[in-house]
This record gives sequence, C-alpha cells and structure tokens, in this order.
Amino acid sequence: MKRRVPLLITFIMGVLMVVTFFIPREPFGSFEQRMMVWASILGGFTLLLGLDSLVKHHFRKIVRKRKDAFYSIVTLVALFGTLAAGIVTWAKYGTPLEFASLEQIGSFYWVYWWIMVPLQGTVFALLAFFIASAAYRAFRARTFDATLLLVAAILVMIGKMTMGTVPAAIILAVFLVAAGVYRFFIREPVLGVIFSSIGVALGVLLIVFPAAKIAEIAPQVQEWIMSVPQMAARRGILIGVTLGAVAMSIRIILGIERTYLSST
Amino acid sequence: MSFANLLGLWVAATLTIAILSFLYRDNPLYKFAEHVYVGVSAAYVIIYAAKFTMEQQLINVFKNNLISYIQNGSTTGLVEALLLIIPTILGILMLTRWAGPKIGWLSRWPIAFTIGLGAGLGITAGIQGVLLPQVQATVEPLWISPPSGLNLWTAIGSLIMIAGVVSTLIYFYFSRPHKGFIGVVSRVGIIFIMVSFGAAFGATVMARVSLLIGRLYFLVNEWIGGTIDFFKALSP
Amino acid sequence: MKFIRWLTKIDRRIIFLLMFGVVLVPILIDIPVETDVSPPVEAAYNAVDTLKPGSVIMLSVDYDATSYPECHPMIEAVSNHAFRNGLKIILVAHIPTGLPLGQAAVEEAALEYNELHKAEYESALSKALSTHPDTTSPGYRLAVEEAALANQKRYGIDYVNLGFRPGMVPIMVGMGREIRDFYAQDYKSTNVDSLPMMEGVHNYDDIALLASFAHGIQVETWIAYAGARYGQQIIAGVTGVVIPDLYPYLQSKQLTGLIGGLKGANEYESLLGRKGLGTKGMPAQSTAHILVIFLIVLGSIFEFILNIFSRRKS
Repeated sequence: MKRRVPLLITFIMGVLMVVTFFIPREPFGSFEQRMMVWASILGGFTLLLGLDSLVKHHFRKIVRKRKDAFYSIVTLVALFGTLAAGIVTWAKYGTPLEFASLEQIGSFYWVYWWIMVPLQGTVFALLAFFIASAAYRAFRARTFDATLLLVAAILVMIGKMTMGTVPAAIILAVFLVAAGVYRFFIREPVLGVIFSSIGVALGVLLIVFPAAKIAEIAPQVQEWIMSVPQMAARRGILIGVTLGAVAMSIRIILGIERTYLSST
Repeated sequence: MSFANLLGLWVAATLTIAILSFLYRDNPLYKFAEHVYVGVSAAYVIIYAAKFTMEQQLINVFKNNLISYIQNGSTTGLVEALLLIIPTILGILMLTRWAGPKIGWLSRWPIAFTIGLGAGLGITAGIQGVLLPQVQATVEPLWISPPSGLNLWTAIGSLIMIAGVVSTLIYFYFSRPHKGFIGVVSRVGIIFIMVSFGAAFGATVMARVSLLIGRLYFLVNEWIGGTIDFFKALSP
Repeated sequence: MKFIRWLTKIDRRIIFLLMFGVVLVPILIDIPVETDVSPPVEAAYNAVDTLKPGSVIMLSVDYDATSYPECHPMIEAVSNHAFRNGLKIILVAHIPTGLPLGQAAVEEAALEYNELHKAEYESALSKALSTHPDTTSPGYRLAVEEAALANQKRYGIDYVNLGFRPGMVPIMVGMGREIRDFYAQDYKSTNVDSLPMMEGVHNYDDIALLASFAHGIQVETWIAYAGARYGQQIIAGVTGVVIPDLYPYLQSKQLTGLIGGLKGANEYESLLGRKGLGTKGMPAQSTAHILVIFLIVLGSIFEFILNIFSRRKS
C-alpha cells in the first residue's frame, strides 16, 4: 500500500504525459494543462520543505548549548528578521518587491540588495582565488591528454581577452616548447617534435605578425575551437546523457527505478 | 543617496570583506556572514512561496472563481475552485514529511505525482528536443548546390564535427572492450573530449573571475566611491 | 632544485594576493577596451534588432546574484535594446532570488529611456496643451496619451513583471497553451487581464522572442520544451560555465543567439554603444586570464624540471 499507490501514481502520470503529447486535442489538452498547473503549485509547497529541518537543527543546537550555538542564533535571527521584513513590505506595498528606484525601496528589498546579493556574489567570487591556486598547484601537463586540455583552455582564455593577447600567446609558445622538450626527456620524441615545432612556429608568428593582427585572430581561433571540436564532443556527451535520461524516465514510469521513494 | 542606502552600502561591504577574509583563514567573521546567508536565503524562499504560490496561484484563483460563481452563477468557476482543493491536499501531504516517518510516508504520493509527470514529459522532450535535432544537425551537407558550392573550410569543419561526435559516442560505449578499431576511434574521442574539457575550463575561469570583478568593482566604486559622494553631498 | 621545490609548495595565500592585485589594479584605472563581436552575440543582437516595433519579448530571469556580474549586464543591455526598438517586455523568473535583479534591470532601463526622451515628452505635452487648452477634454487626454506612448515606458503598457512561479518545466510546457493559467496576476497581484500590454498575449504564438538569462540548465530546458514543442525562438545570455553546453544547440539552430560571459556582455554593449559593467570589467578579466595562464605554465614547467631531475637521479 505504502509503495504500491505511489508507483501506480507514477505510472499513470508518466503514461498520461506521453499520451497527451501525442494527442493534444480535448480532453487531453486541458487535462495536461491542469496537471502542469498542479505541478507548479506543488513546487511551491516543496520550496517550504527545507524550513523545518533548518529551524529544528539550529533550535536544537541552541537548546543543548552546543559549541557554535551563537551562530545558530545568528541564523534564526536572520531567518525571522527577513521574514518580518518580507511581511511588513508585503503589507505596506501589496508585494514583497517594491522598486520604483533604488531610492524608494521596501525593507525586504533592502535586505535582498544589501545582504543577500553581496553574500551570494562573494561566496562564489572566492572560487576565482581557488581556481588560480589550482592552476598553479594542481593542473600539470604530465600526459599528452593533459597538455591538450591545458592548451585548449589557454587558447579559449586568450580568445576571451580584450588586451594582453600577445604576452599570453608568448607564454603559450613557451609552454609548448617546454612541453616538447619534456617529451624528449621522457622518451616520447614524436610528441616532443610536434609540441616543440608548434611552439616555435607560434613564437615566430608572434614576432612576424603585428600585435593587432594577433589580437584579431585570437578570438576567431577561440570561436573555432568552441564551435567545432568542442561542440562535437559536447554533442556526443549530450546525446549519451539524453539517451540515459530517457532510459531512466522509462524505468521510473515502469517502476523498475524506485530510489525516489526510499527517502521516507 | 538616502541614509538607508548608505547604511546598506556599509553592511554589504562588511559582509563582502567578511566572506573574503576566509581566504586568509576560517574565522568568526566569516562564520557569522555564512550563517546570515543561510537564514536570509531560507526566509527569502519562504516569502516567495507564500506570495507567488499560496496567495497568487491558490488563494486568489480560488477566490476569483468563487466570486465568479456567486456573482454570475458560473458553474465553471465553482468546478475550478473545487478542483484546486486537490493540489492543495497534495501540497499538505508533501509537508507531512515534517511530522516524521509515521505520517511522512504520505509525502510519497505528491512525490510520485511530480516524478511521474517529469519522467513522462522528459521522454518526449529528450527525443523531440535533443536527440532528433542534434543527430540531424550533425550530418551537414559538404556540398551545397550553387551558388554556395564547396566551401573548403566549412566542409573540413563538418567532417571534424562528425568525427568528433561519433568518436565521443564510441568512447562512452563500454559494452565492448576498447581494442582494435574501436580502441583507435575511442582514442580519437578522448582527444575531442580533452579539447572540450579544456575549453570548459577556460570558460569556467572566465566565469569565476567575473564574479570577483563584480565584487571588487562594488567595493571600489560603489562602497568607497558612494560613501565619498554621500559626504560630499552633505558638505555645503 | 630545492628552490623550485619550495616554489611549487608556496603558500596559496600569495597566489590569492596576486589574483587580488591583478583584478584590483585595472578597476582603479580606466582602460579603454576594443571589442570585436563574435557571431553568436551578433546573432542574438540581430534577433532582437529585427523584431517589429510592438512585438513582445519575454525575458526569463534564470540567474541570481551568484552570476550577477555576467548575466545582469546582459539583461540590462537587452532591456535597453528592446525599449530603444519599441518592443514590449514580459519579465518572468524561475529563480526566486533572481527576480528582483531582473526587475531592477527592466525598471532602470525604463527610467533611462524616460530620462532620455524627457525633453521630447515635455515638448509633446506642451503642444497638447496649446492645441487643447481644456485639460478635461477627450482631445487633450488623447494627445497626452499619444505623447506618453511615443516617449515614455510605462508599467502595464510597455513592460510587465509576472513574477516567479515554482516548477520550471510545467510552466514552460503550460505557457504554450495559456500564460494566464500560471500567471493570472502580476508580481503585485494585479489581474493580468487589466494590463493593456497583455491584451492578445496568450501563449508562445504571441511572443516574438524569448531571452533566457541563466546560470544552469534552464536554457536547455527552454529549448527542449518551449523551443522543440512550440517552435519558440530563443536567445540566451549565460555565464561562462554554461557556454560550452549550448554550442550544440547554436549549431543545430535550436538557439538563435548566445551571449556568453562577461565578454559576451561586453560585445552586446559595444553593439548598443553602451558602457556597462560588461565593458568596464574586461581589462580586469584580461589581466586575470594572463595570471592564470602564467600560473598554469609555470606550475607545469616546474613539474617538468622536477620530474627530469628525479629521473636523472634514479
């Protein structure tokens, strides 16, 4: 009963959604539309789910006087304070959002603009530092594949610059020559020749051609890499992933895949 | 600039610096900012769920349909209003998860509804929206009838594209050992995948650096610049 | 060799400081930017530019403050472009924490347009007054309305904010039939049927172009549902992380145009002749890229040297 009814619901909904795709006429059309509306409403209730575990977890920490209970107080104060701001703005303006200009804002919008936006933005801005650190400490061109990956990455980065294209390209040429020399030392002469000669050729081109021409070509090279080889691999991955997703959807509808029921 | 906005500027700058202080090491200021983030985000989502789902999708639609029935005798309005009870019940069943496993198993019904709906839609969308158009677009004509004719560079690109798509797909086919012809083709596939991952890494670097630029731009131009402008405007 | 080994294990906070420096310095100095426009951005621009005045464009806010510096300049630029060309904007959001950003972009674009055309508006108003001295007459009211239509962007007439609805996929599918089934009211709970702009706008057939500003899989979802099922024309403004995922759709023409990352925002702004954050941020972007390229190469060269030395030793 506890599992059979949900599996039946999944089967019926899944089959009906496929049927209504092929038969858009009434009554299937309006039935499908109604199910879409209900799913959206259900999505709204789902948004509330996390609230219970968050409040309970932090409340328990405060009551049990755990270490770091102060931060739990901070979380709950921020939570209820923002809720209060939202309700007050909603009552005052008829919506939690009220924005005529940045000079006329409700308190909920104030919390959003001056607390939420900087926090969200800065937490992800930290990644820029970690990427720089990883680039130096972890990304090493030990194998041919890794060298190829890094060369592609560098070419894309050069293509996305508006200045300093020539110094960056010189660094790339140095890298290719160094990678070629390294390949000689580890007894891979063919790859050594390939990398070194490309590096030297790039270096010569950088000397021969004016900087403006290099700056013009770099974005075109980047665009070609993105739209041909990169796109091809990405399409292969996309086709594979979609085939997997379709297969998974069929398994879910048929009740073979039941992991979504196991969390309760 | 109003005083509320100046206060906001300084709150925002303090929180930004608090998060950035994590780069030196984990510290109480960073933890404080992190916990404020959690609390504010949760409250934000609740207000939005209350406003846009509870009020606008449920209460107001129910009210308007009922009014339409009462004022005009429209039975459609009554039926629409009554039918809204079903998603409301499903939503409340979803929230039974809060009550623990004894009653929480009821939440499987709305979950099953959502999952079944998503799976059904996903099958047709996957085939119609991704598989068929993507496969179709892979096979591009090398020679187009005049006046276009043969563009060598485009033709080479098309051939590289077909080679890339097929070799990538073969690389991910693990039901056969990668030996012989399949081994060679999957090796070519790895080369394309490495180029793809490299390009993705380059694009990711651009994305993450942009976020840092945004924050530093705020600190320099809006915080420091804005505060100076505020006090300049105050002075006679 | 000890020195090189020490360099490879250098405290990462020094690298953080370097990154901080190369991004901060260009922000402090105003460096001119020369931009070439890539084909995907040009295609996105043309998709908006070739729409007839009065056409409806739907902007979907599928990003939030975690992608603010990349996606926000894009939606600002497209809003400005839309108002400049007399298009009407419907704003929707699938990410709740992004809706105020989208609202800010459209409202500020409207304010900017109104400020730019203030003189023409006031001149048209005084002409209306001189032609119809009786301010209660229908002729005066009509002349005032015409003046506003020509020179001002007003909520409900030139743009609407339908707010946020949870679910994403059901909404994308359902809007193919009737938008009002999901958005019976706008963000202020005003009945959508009372908004003049929404008259005759019921589904994707009435929306000339959809622009999704996203930081995740939302664009692919739009393409799979709205694009494939209903033939909706779509352009996308996405963060750098998502760009590679969308090139297959660009090539298959399921996506008409793509504005990618800060560079994409910069290119779109250059086509519009605007100088937003997309343009102002490019010098810092370039110096940061040089640093990351330098660090990758330096790290690898040190690795090569250490490996050769250890092989020789053994």
